[in-house]
Amino acid sequence: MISLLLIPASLLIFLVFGMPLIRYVWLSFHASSVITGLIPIPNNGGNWIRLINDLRFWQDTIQTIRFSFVSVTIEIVLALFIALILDQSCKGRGVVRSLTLLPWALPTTIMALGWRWIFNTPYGPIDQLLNHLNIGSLNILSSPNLTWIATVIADVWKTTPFVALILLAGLQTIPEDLYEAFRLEGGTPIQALTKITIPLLKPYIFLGILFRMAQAFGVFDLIQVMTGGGPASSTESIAMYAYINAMRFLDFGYSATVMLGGFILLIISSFTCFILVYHSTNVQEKITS
Amino acid sequence: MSLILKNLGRKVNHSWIIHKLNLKVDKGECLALLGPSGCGKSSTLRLIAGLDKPDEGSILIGGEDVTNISPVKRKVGMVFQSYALFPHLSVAANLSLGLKVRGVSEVEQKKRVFAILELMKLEKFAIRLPAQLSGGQRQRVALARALLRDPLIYLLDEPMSNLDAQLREDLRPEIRTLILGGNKPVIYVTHDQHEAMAMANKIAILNEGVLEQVGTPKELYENPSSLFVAKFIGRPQINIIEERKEELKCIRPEDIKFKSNGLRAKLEYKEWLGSEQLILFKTSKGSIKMLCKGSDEIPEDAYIGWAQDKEHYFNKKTGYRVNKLLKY
Amino acid sequence: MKSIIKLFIPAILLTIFTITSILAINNRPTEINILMPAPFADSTSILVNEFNKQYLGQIKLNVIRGPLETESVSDLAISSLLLDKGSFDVLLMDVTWLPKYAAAGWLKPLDYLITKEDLDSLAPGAEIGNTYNKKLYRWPLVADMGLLYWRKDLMTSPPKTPQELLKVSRELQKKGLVKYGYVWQGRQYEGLSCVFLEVLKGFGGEWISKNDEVGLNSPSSIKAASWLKELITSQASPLAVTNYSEPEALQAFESGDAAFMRNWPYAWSELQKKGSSVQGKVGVTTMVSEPGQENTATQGSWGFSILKHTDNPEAALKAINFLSSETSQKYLSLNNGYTPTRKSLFNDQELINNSPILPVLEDALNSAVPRPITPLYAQISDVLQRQLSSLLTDEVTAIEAMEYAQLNTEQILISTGKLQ
Repeated sequence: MISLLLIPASLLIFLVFGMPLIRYVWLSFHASSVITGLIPIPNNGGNWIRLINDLRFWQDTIQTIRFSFVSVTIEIVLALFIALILDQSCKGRGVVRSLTLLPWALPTTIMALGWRWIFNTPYGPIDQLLNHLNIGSLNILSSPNLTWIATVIADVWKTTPFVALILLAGLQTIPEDLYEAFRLEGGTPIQALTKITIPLLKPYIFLGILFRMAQAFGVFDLIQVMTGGGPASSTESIAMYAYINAMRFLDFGYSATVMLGGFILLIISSFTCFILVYHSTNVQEKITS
Repeated sequence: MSLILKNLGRKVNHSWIIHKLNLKVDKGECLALLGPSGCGKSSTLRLIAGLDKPDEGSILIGGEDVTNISPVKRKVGMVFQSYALFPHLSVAANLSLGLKVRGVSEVEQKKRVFAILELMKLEKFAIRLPAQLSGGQRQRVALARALLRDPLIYLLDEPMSNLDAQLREDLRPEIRTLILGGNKPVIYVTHDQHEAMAMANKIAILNEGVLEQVGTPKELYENPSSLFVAKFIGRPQINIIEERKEELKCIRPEDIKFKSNGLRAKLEYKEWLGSEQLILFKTSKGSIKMLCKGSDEIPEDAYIGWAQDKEHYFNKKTGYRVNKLLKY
Repeated sequence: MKSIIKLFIPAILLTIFTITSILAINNRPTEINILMPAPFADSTSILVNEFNKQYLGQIKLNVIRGPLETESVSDLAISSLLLDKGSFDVLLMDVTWLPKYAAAGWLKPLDYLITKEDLDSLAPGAEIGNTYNKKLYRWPLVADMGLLYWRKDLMTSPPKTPQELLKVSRELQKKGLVKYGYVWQGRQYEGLSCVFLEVLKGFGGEWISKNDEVGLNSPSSIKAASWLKELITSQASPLAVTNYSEPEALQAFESGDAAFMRNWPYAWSELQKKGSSVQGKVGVTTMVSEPGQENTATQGSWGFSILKHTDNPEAALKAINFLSSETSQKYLSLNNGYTPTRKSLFNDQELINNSPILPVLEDALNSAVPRPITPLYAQISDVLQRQLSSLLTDEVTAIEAMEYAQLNTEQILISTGKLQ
């Protein structure tokens, strides 16, 4: 009976998720570009061989993983901090909560444009401030070693509220009397955080990581607008490379391959992340008598 | 070792939820805080534990003023209504966490946790998570945690309200042997008068943050100092027989007897409860409840009465007792 | 008898109604849908209304207002061409899209629709970039080319050679007259390829020659790349140009912080607006070149293409002819500062009065060079952008950058079979 009720939902998932995936897999085994007149011609895994040997794809992979891991890590830590503050009851809490969510509600392209101007040399506020303090220009968007940090900052600014919201929901499921019981036992607030809050938030932290990893791995508009993938391609992501292949180069076969390659790497990365976090926060002590 | 509350008061949103509360609980004594929900009994417990700060008055444990002392230093063993077990920790870890944060050595931790598990017959469940336990087992873990604390006083906040009737009966002796009758004061919050009378040797009745009466269960039953107490203690509720100018005349249902020259009464309905039965009569003085033996024959028309020394009089306005103490 | 007539009245009315309905259906005007980037859709709206008035009942022209950004318009067009072949009849196209779209088979050749007279009316330079494989696919609406903006208040005449540009920049900076010498588009994007093409030609280099040979690792190309790098190392250009696109360069120049700027003609009217610190102090010329080399301007124009699947190419052509007519182009030039593509308009006194730089624009158009015409242009431009960006941000040397670019470009072109 239950399985019968699941049919419409499964069908929907298959249509919106399964079908395109199958189509991509099929396309990744075909050459389909301007050269073939956009007619798919089987090429015996040629796209995949090209992908494995494509230094640019691997460079983008490293950059995407770097971007994802660093921004998701910072976001989780910051979001926990923010969620703990937002969880305190105080006057005007509702207003503060809504305000915190504002960056997340902003369209990515608009906020990316905003950050591009913030980091602008010499007219952006950061540069103005640095010049005022006689430190000199940072030129963060002109340095292949630093630009990715600027994109991480923008991403953290935008999506931390989202993670904070998830963690806040988690915090509110923890009954107050657990903390009281712990206080009576002599636990300090910091111990309460490490021994009660974080372990009990674990499912929510996982959820946040999972959501954010999937999003960060597919980062596109933020970087496209902020840096266009530059300088020296130092911020190009896998999603951007797939997009360029499809929409600029009209090489749909290879674009599908890049996309799938990224998808496989996303699954691996998320899984790794999951395992790492699971082990590092697994404070459950089992004493057998 | 005793617990003294002096003139204790707490305000929430500018109104007193506890006001001028004076109580003394000696070692080995179990005081039940009884009252309807919202009467301030749990708030009192939180003040004693140190989870909230009083706006007025002081708390003394063993003669020492602990009003401004942190909860942990008060050394209270508290059992929460929800048990407040850490859901992510096994039973053993739940018990040892407190010892750990208080810096007890690992060997000592194991020893004491093991001992308490054995005492509570919980050895089998040591590595289970709270979610894998029954309600009664969780309750025992919560008790075990309070015992392990080796406290100066015990605070039990409706410890059995989440259990079914059968389990409560089963657990009462356990609580009694483990916690009560020791040499420590125990405060037991409940809204169930049966439980209070069964467990406590002293009952304090709270009404809207104010102490109505404190005494042994027998004292409260026999000589309630106010109509509120009279209504709260004793089931079925006391009958209000007559309204006079300034007083209310009340008789307990169990003190009503058949009396041939008494008040004429018409049977309205009856509830047969086995050993006894509850009867509702309609009389010229309104409805009167009567409790009699289960074996008694109840006629449709009867004459009822009571001994005059069973009459309780209360002031109509203040609700306070006006007649002398009765002797049962 | 009367009752019989009465009976017939509804029948007669019904017949009349049916006939008129059928006539109405047959008379429904042909609909032509044009996709344009938002700024063009806005600037042509009055012309479109006029067209619809003129062709009332025959042709109904609808303009679909696309996104603001060039590449986003391309994305929209490509998505619609891939998914739904019936959305648009006409597309306003950037010059670089043409070979790709033509190779994909999305465009209709216009040769049989356009007369020799029409072709002759185009200004020299405006005819570039409309053909692929010797077939005409696009009809130009607006000419666009790279220009060098200079400050009349700081010098009497603009520099002619790259060395001069650098020298004058440094001198003005040392005197404290400007913060920066020369601002341009150094971000890793199409604009960087445009900047480089002008410099490359100025040094006598070739991106891809007429014989399809890649010339990026030639000594002149390396010199050109080195010069761009030198602009930054000598501090004539700020390091920040490596993330500058047109708006950033314009801002620096508009606020009076720079002596020179490379930009498109649209910047001129922006610089004359209120709030510009350099209003009336700006001169326009073509990009500098080595002695003996020609000054060139990267061509970047917009024009109409008819999509292959359209049912009404004749109606579409009428719309195109109307929108790109002399009258229309004059209107667009007067109201929006668009550079015309018709020869005659460059001698129009009214237009010259309105835009004193028109003669310069004509010269620039005359010396306009197209970016390589190949369906794989996006790929080879991407390669060049990556290497130039790496060079400008100190990741590689000029020789390395140009050798990589040479190699990668050759590899890409081999796949088309054009290179062996």
